[in-house]
Parts: sequence; C-alpha cells; structure tokens
Amino acid sequence: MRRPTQIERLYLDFDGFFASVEQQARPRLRGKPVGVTPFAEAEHTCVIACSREAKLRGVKNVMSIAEARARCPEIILVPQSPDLYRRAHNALISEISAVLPIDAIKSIDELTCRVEAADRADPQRLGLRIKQRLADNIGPYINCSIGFGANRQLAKMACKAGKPNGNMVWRPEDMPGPLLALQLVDVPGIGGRMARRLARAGITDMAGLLATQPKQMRKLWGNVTGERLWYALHGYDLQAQPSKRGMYGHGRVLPPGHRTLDHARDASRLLLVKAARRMRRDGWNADGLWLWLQIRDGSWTRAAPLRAAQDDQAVLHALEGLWAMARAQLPRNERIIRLGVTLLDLTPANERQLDLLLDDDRIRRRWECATAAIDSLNRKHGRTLVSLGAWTPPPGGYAGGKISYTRIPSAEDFW
Amino acid sequence: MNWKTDLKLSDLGAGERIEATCKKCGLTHYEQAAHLLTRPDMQHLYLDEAERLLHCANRFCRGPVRIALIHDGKTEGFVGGMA
Repeated sequence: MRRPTQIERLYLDFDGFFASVEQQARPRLRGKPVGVTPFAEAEHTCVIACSREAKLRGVKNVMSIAEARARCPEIILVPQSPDLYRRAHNALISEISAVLPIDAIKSIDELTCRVEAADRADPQRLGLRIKQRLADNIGPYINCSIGFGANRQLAKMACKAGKPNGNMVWRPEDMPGPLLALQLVDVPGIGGRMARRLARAGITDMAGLLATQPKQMRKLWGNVTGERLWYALHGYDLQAQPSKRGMYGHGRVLPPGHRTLDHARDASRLLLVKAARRMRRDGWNADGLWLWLQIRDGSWTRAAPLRAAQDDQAVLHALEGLWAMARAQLPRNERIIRLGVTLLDLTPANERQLDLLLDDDRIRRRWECATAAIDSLNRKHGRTLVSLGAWTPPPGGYAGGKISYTRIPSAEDFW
Repeated sequence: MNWKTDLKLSDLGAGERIEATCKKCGLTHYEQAAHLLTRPDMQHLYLDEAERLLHCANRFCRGPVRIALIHDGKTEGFVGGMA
C-alpha cells in the first residue's frame, strides 16, 4: 500500500452550515444567535443546527429547544428550509469545482478533493483561494474549515481540528504529532461505545491507539474497518470503499393532529411515490416494500413482495395490502406517531428477471409506460400535477425532501 | 467572476443536467447539456450567457431563470466513520 510523502488530500467542511446559510439568505439573522428547528412553532423538539453566535452562548446542535432557550434566551429559532440548503450546496460546490475538481461529496456540507501537484508545496494558499472565492461569489456569512493531509481521513481530522474557519495542514513529515493531541473520540469512527471497548483493551489515548498493530485493530473492531483505520491513521493512501445503494425510502414524524390511520396512510402513499420516483430516476427496480409504523407502545412493521417493479401502480398496490393488514391488526383508534416506507432488494431496471408463474411482464410494461408519462408531465410542469390517487402532503412541508448524510435532495424531491 | 463565467456549456459532460429555476414564478425545470449544445446559438457560450438565453418552461410565464449544476454522481457515504 502506498504511503504518500506529500499532502495529497483536502477536506472541506462548512461551519454551522444550515444556520450560516440562513444568515446569508436573511440579513435580519446576521450576527445573531440562530437555531434551526425541524418545524415552525415546534416546542417539543430540538435545535438541529445553530449559528456560531449561539454556540458561543452554550447552545449545541441536537439540543432540546427548552435547554437552548434556557442557555440563550435571545436565540432566534427558524424552521429548516431544505430547499434553500440544497440550492446553497449546489452553488458552493460549483464555485469550489471552479478552483479544483471535487473527488467526492460526503454530505451536504462536506467534500473532499485531490490536491494537485502544483498546490502541494503550499496547500494553505489553495485553501485561502477557495475561501476567497466563496466569500466573493456566495457571501461572507458562509464559512468553511479546510484540512489538508496525506489521505482523506487525516485531512478530515485536520479540518475538524482547525474549526471554525480553519485552514489546517498536517504534513506527513509532522505526523503523528497532531494526532497525539487528540482524544480517541475525536477520531471519526470511534464513538463512545468503541472508546469503552478500547479502554477495556487498555487503550485510553491516541498514543496507545497508534502503538497497536493492524491485525490488533481489526480484532478490536471485529471487522476490517479497524485495520483500514489503522492504515489511514498511519498515513497510508486509504479511503472508504464506495458503498452500493441498498434501498430507497422516506420517513416522517406526523404532527399531533394527523396521527390517525387514515392520515398515516395518506402520508405513506405520498412518501412512497416520492421514493419510487427517485428509484426510477436512478434506474432500479425493487423486489420488496417495507412499511414501518411507530405507535404508542412500540412499532408495527410488515413487508410485501414486489417482483422487480418500479411503477407507481405496483408499489401503491403493495402498500394498500400492507395497510389492509395494519387495519386488521391495529386498534381502530391507534395513533401513528412516525412512519417509514422503504423499497428494498434493488435490482437494475434494465435487468428485470421475468417470473414465469406470475407472467406479469405485459401489464408491468403498460404501467411503466403510464408512470413514465406521469413523471414526464410532472417534470415538465415542475410540480406533482398528475398522481395515482389523491396527493395529500402532510403539514410541515418538505415531505420527501429530508437531507441526510448520503442524500442531497434534488428540486424534484420537493414537488 | 463566478463559476458561470468560468465554464462553457461545452465543458459539461454530455449527460450532465442543468437545473433552471424561474426567477419570476419559481418553476424548476431541467435541461440536458447535450441537448442545449445542439442549438446553434448555444454551442460556444459560457454558462452565464446560456443562462440569459434560457426561459421559464411555463409558456405563460417565460421569465428569466437561474441555473445550477447537479452534482448527484459525486456523493459517497462514510464507511465505519471513514471518509
């Protein structure tokens, strides 16, 4: 395995991304403590992101609203705007791409690039160039931290060590010095539980971790990730293996006034159609559908087979079957707090295996044509103009537009 | 000087999609870079110039649009916390 002797990777992480995008977009929020919440007027939930000003007053991400208000009474709470964050992400990525090619986008606010040979001698200047470009073309309220290292993992850790607004370089010849100043839980991939496991093995600090052997790390982790992390921490050119998509799905917490079985069914139909649209866009069929309902005393989960389908009629028919089971098994007045629908067991859409006994190819093709026509009409009009059955979005908006680590929604997900 | 003034339409990959959002009515539609390049008036344009030639897809609006590039294909997850 190759061990770079120069800086080869850059890792960029935007500081307090959601809150700083809000401040950039809305001048009234600038310079003030801002907390972003999942819904408007939500009091029994948490602050999902907060601005630098709020952090300086003791507010943290994923802190309850009550606690955030207690620590910072002047905090301004704003509901999340996923579409705004998506648009900001696209603009920021385009600007960074104009400075150097992007290797991988790790989440809505994190990305990594290869550092070109011409920039390796003075990576800090490259970092300043990116920051200046973002300040000039996007605005001064969205700051980023940049880290440079021999590989992605070290660049990410350097980036985190330099926060906020950092431009940190960890040269191979300086290693492992900067690592020794960190806590074990500062290493991406080591959480509280893993730190306890390491402590039981007598490893309580970075010096101890770095003194292990690759196979020892593998044994401690119980899988190859430990060994891969060892090589990454020791500066070898190693990074996460590309993962294969296994499912498409959406989940939703239902507002208190919309927790009946009928409301939950309507919300699940809409979420499923949105998940199926994404799946079709990416060229997959699903072999199964999974419905999960969170109820007062636990949860209710059932799966239904789909036979390599991707059209709306097939997935909605399977969903109706699952709802018939739910109605038969749950009390009529059951309250559904949260629900999730997932299309799983994916196979490429262009490799559909026909089922001789089912013999549904002709009817599936017809429904696929109808669904393609519906998708085309909706795309042309930029909204859900045509759907199979009623289209009743749950209150709160942004159904199906949730931002997660590996998913940055597109404009179509908000239709 | 921004990414739109730096990049030409012909710099984009053939399969690359451009998201165009109407500044007047908010309607979003998509254009294929390859499709736009078949238009003689677009072939040698920078993206800011192409943006000025594009209009809202709603024929009753036809307002000016703001374009964005889609970066779907570059997303990668973390594996065991590793970047």
